[in-house]
Amino acid sequence: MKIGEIIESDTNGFTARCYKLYEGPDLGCLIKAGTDNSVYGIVAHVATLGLDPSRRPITRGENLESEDEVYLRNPQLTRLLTTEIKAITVGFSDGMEFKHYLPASPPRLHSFVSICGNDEWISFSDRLYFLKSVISSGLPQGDDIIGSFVRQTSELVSDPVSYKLKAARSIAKFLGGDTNRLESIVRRIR
Amino acid sequence: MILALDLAKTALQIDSMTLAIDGRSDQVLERVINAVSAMKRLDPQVYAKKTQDSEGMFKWGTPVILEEPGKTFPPPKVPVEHKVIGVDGSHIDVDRHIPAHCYLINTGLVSLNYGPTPSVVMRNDPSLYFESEETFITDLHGSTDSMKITGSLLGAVRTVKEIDILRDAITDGNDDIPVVGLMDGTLIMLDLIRAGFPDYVLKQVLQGGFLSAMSDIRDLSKDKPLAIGSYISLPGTSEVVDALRLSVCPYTVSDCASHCASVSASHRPCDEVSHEILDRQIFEHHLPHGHRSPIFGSSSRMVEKFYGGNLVGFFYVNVGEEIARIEVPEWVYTDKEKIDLIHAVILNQCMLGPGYPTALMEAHEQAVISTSDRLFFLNSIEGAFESQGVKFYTSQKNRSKRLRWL
Repeated sequence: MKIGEIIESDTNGFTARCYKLYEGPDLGCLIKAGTDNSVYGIVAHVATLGLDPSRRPITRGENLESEDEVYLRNPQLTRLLTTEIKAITVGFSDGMEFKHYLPASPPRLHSFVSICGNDEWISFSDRLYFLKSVISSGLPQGDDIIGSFVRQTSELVSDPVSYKLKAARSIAKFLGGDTNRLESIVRRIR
Repeated sequence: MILALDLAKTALQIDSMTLAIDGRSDQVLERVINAVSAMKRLDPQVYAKKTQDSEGMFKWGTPVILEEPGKTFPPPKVPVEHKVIGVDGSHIDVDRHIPAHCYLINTGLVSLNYGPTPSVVMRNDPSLYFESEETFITDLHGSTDSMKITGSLLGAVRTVKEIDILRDAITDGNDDIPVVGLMDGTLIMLDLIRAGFPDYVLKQVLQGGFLSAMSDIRDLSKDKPLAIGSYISLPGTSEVVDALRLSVCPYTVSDCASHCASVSASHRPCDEVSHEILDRQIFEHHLPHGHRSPIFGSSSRMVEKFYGGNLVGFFYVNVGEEIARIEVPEWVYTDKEKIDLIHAVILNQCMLGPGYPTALMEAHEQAVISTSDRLFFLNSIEGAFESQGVKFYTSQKNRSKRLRWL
């Protein structure tokens, strides 16, 4: 499902602007950029903000009954606000198979960004080496990204419990003796 | 260190100015209160006769009073489903320091649909004009006279483009729901009329351009809930004040030259309700939130002469944050439903704004040309010339401004 286009891209990840306001993928979602030799990423950040950085949104609903009314009464907001996502690149396809490491060059600007279909998602997520790059990304929300990714993937596979155990074992290996962090991530996977 | 503007000296002068203004505030307030009281007492029939009797002798303008002057009009109900179309424009003027004789007009349009299925259209349309028939207005009847489109004439041409896109949007929409079209600023093209442009310019720009588009909209508005108007924020006009001058003038015929020529400003009888005050100050004291003033017909003789079936009237409205002046054509102000529609919609727009109509604010955002855009435009022209092998020259003055060498 095509959800947006890349507006910033570098070796480690990419930023995409979604076509529809608030219709971005969830944190931890597996997405891909480009249609041939796609680059794969895990959604690490979702933000909704004003298109023009010099214009800050103001409060509009103090006297309204519902949040929906704010948008009903201000139809221009759907054109002035935008939802953007940042993804950590976790692999690519060379047309033959998935590679779970960084591609030689980042995806092009304006590459279409899609949420991976179930089969592709399951197939890519069979090996979990790429979680190491998320763990070592230094992002404050790193544990939540991994937890969300594993939860979403486990809903797609035939044996969710086994998948979660497999993921927990991989993560434990990447973390070495950092049991506190392992506990933090496992709590999010359950 | 030598600065272009000595900020320390300027700041001292600003302090002096503020103190002087503050010192006069009590006197101003007294005159405003006098003015409100005079407005409530004003008899439109007596005023109309005195206007006639003093024709050519009263030195200020005399707006036509179309509704009971002391009355205020409460906010009508805004239709649940309606459309507001806002238009605005900006331009890059002809630059005589570069080899290309051209100008650019960027028009912005925002169309907001309110109701159960809200929607929005936003767009801008930059147009570069460089052919001689686009950059000059030529006398089409006989003479070889022509006028370069620049400065205030370009401003007028831009206003014509703005009303053109408003007319086109109204035509394309062909809506059955109530529609209000809003422009920024005044409907009275005084810069064009006052500047003494030749008749062929006025015919093409004002009559063939602006007023022709307004007449098209008038035709579209027949039997439809459609109104247009312009919105002036913090208006600096004093037409109602001028009317009060006439109404309180103690002389039967207000012949300023014979009665008050030797009296200094601020000491004439009419100064009690008018000296150094503006219309908006009167209405700040008179209009409750949401209410509008009575409608007045423009006092400009030039409007009477040129505007024909699109005579301009105005009213003031308390939008909460300020008193705004709304100008509307005759076919709007003579139709109560249309006046109620524009009154209600403007208040709603200012409430959503907040403080300024959303449609105009967004149209401005579509139309605005930033300083960096202007530089990009100039650099693009320079680049295009050089890629075609055409030498790009500029004046030494312009060059020195850009380089600012030591």
